Amino acid sequence: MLLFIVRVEGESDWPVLVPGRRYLASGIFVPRVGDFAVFRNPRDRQQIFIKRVSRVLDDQYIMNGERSWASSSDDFGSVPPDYILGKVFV
Amino acid sequence: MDIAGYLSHILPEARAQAHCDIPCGIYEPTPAKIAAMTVLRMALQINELPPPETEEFSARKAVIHSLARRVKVKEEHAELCKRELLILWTDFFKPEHLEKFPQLHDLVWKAAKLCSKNKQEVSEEAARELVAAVDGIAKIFYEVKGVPERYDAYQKLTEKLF
Repeated sequence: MLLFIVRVEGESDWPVLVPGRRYLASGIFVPRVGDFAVFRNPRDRQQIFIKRVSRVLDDQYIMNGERSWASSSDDFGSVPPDYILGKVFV
Repeated sequence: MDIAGYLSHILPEARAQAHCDIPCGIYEPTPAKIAAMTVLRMALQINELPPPETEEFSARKAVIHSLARRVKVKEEHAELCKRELLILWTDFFKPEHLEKFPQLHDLVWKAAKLCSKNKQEVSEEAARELVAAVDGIAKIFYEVKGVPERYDAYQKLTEKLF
């Protein structure tokens, strides 16, 4: 999608991403390390997550939340590029 | 209204989860095991209580008092055990864990029933069944957490509580 709105649910990226607030995102920009990305959960395509890209290894995205207790790629694995929906503009 | 809020009227909107997809609390089956072991200990002690030496009220009162205290502790810890198990069941275990261990619902349900049975009865056998049921759930718990070796440490700690 060229441009879309993403509404954040949950506090694992707070205070950078505020729960309940809407952010602009785009599918034509490739998220880079440090960016927030919207993506499908590799373990369940129906779920859409938002996390910060911490690394890109072998074309796979490693995701982290802002909080130490947030879920991350340690829990759901690395994210393939075709699961990435877009980069978030914060 | 910010720009994203304004554009939300014309652009498609997705909801993205930034919640903690792993439990944020500290979960551990050891409190349930301690409660189950307490129930067992109380059942053993109640069964060992000697009858009053005389028919005098003071002698009977002493026995009744000792009995009442142990029954109270047994009741409380059977309830506590149930609560601890239900916390693991409802807050810690997730649908994917059930896929891996399809017997989980049945195990927890039967363990909770055993808690009730131990409140209703004074039975060493029922108390030992409860201890074994808690151990079965603990084994799955450590498997799910990816630390199956911690089950041995749990057993070592909780088998010698009395």
